Amino acid sequence: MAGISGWGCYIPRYRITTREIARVWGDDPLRIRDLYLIEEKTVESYDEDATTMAVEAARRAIARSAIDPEDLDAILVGTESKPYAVKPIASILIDAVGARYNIQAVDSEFACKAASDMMILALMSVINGRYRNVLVVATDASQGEPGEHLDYSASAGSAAFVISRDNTCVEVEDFYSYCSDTPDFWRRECCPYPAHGEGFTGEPAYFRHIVSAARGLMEKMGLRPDDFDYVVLHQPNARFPVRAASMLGFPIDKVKPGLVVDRIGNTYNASALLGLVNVLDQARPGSRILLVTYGSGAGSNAMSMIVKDSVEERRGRAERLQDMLETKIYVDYSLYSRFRKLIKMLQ
Amino acid sequence: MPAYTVPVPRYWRRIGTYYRLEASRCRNCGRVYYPPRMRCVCGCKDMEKIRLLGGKFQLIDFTVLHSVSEDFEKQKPIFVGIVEESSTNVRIITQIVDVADVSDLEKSREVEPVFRVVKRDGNVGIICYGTKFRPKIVG
Amino acid sequence: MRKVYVLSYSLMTAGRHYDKGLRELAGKVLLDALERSGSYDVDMIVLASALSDVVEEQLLASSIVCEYLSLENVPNIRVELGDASSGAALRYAYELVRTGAVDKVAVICADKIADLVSTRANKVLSYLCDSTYESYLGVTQAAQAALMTRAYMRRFDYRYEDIAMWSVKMHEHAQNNPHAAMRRKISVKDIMSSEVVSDPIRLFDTAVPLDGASCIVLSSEPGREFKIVLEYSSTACCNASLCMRPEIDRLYTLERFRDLASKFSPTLFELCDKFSIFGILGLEALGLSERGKAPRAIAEGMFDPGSKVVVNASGGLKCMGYTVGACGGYLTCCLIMELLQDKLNVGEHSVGLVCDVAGIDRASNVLIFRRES
Ligand SMILES: [Zn+2]
Repeated sequence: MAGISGWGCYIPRYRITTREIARVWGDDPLRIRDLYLIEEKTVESYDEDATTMAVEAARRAIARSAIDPEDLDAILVGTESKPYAVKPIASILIDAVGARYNIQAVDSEFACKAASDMMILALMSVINGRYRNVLVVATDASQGEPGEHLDYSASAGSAAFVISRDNTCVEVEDFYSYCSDTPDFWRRECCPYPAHGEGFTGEPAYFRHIVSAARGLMEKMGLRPDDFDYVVLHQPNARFPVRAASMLGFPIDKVKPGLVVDRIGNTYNASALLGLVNVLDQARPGSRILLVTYGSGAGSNAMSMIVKDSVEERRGRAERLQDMLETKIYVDYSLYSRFRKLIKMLQ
Repeated sequence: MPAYTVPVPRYWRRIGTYYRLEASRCRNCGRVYYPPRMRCVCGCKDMEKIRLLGGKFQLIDFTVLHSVSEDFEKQKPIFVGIVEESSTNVRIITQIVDVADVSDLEKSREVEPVFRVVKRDGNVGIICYGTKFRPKIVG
Repeated sequence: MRKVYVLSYSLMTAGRHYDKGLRELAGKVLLDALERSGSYDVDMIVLASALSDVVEEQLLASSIVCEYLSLENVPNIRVELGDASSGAALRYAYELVRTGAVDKVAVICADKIADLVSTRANKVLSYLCDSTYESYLGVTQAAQAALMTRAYMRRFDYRYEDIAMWSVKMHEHAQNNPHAAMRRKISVKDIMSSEVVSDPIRLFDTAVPLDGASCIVLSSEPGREFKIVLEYSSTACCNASLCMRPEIDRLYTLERFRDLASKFSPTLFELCDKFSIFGILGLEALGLSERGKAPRAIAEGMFDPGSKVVVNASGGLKCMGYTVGACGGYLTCCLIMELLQDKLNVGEHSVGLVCDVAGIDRASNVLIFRRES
């Protein structure tokens, strides 16, 4: 069965605390922390964007999988913060990782969910034998309106996976999707920041889709929460995934290893997938992982995975997320505004 | 057409050297050149393409440049350093990023290549990418 | 081969000449120099300019300058070798006269940079580095000079104050030079409290980019007023990036001129000092000071006017301004004035050497002048 042969990630070194953001916007920092359970989030440097982070994560995933980049048959990207409105990240990745030119490459968008859709499409393409190795990259440097809810969480990061037929270290057992027309969060063409329905993003959107996809997969596979060692959910804040996991009947210690939002913020397409990276960085062989992503608009993908013995030999081939979490440079809101280009200039 | 300033072919033809640090190595004496050369100082014209990207890099020296050129006006000051790839001894003069403090560079002399935006050509033109270097995580 | 004489020269003090374009700057010095030469007849005009196309968006700039003076039939050419364009143009003119190709040639050294705002000027000057691989990433000439300075300070255990003494000396010398743009005395303390350009280099320790022009007329026959022979000219190159050199704190091109010192015995020097480190390394490369000892020799006043060997009595580019392609013209005119003891009286000398440097030691031109009685 097909699965993951290499994983990698990238987060910027710069961080801002939610306390600092609250200071600027006149919010009570304790209330803000209580609301999101986010201590700090990553901040892309002036010279970083969704493309640069995608390249870094992809290179690490390829290093872990130890395949020749020329053996990639497709490069699939999921993002909602493309630096270009028209012109793909995927084609830049071809040249940046040194892949062949006669391959398929495309960017896709479904809010925070597209990258996991690309994982499923990649899996199907290697299962049916058409492709052997597919690079899937989740990358976002997302923006929230300054002072608005999203300013406390929207951050930057990237996760990448080589999905392969052979040579896997994580086997994907099955997957299940659940989607509906639920406009909880959106961004119109040419709008710099998204809009959302506040409380509406919860029950009818996040919880309904996450829970439905997770239950659907477990029913389909005949598995119960006891059969999983880890559950990794999309994490726009630290409250939502913990509550959704409890609704599904998972104890908190199966959630914690895959919860990184409190230290990096919401990395959108990379959100749940960076949680998965953190789990793969530490999970024992034989562990079973339930991954459920979520994208506004709205939909969820659930996947069940089993960690194989070969995961251990691959860990040392690139930095772990934990190392990146510990290497940080704090910025205040002024520098944050400069890095994120929030200060209005002619160009 | 909306106006932009960077001629696209000038950027496009450098993608190999900008993204993958493609250098040329002399098949006769083994000298490595970045930027690549067509002919070696030894006189040999038989040059092969190699990739410095996966190599180990040491920071030789650096300066903090405050009086920057216009493309870096919003990023000043910038760090300009000389880095050396240890297996080929090739030296590159380049930009160092993600520096928390100057003392960071004094201690941690191992640096790693990192893919970054070099120039955004106004609001209309292309985004030029390239390789900069940054202090590597130690330990 | 024929002897090559300096027939006349003229220069205007460098500055922010906002009211003059390249044609007005170049036209004025050419007019003055030709009038002093006794005749508007000239066989050839050579324009040294690094930036005419970049700043004024003008190709064929030498033709435009000739038109401005109604020299409608005079052949002309522009020579570009970065900020050593002047030396290269003078060498070219020297060869033309020496070989008999022409009898009288006027070399105009002119550039405009002050039209540009500082970050734009920094970018244009970074074209002196490899634009595709160095300037692209923000590397500038100042950053490379800073790396050279750091390497030198580390190797010979100097503080930046020792290096900055060069600038202090230049300002002392410039007090006697009516053509120096900067004539105010400065102290090491002034330099140390000025802003950092590229660590450790500070603003008051750099040559300020200014507009400037000068003209030197060379001829196979001497003029009536004086007899100065351009006795020798040569160019040396080091066509490699700074970081590819075995030692980055050396001026390899100037080292190749070291034997000229014993051959021609010059006692007057005008050296490129766009950054203090260039002045210091220039002294060492030419053998005027032992390697690693130039800062001490400078501080002791070994090269001040009145000494046996006098270096940059003009105040150098530090005080005359960094006029890019026109730099060598200023050094040359001042050396001629020193040999003639005209306005720049530094004692009795008969042989002098001028040297300008292109970019980070990619090329340098040497010119040796002798005053005949
Ligand atoms: Zn060779």
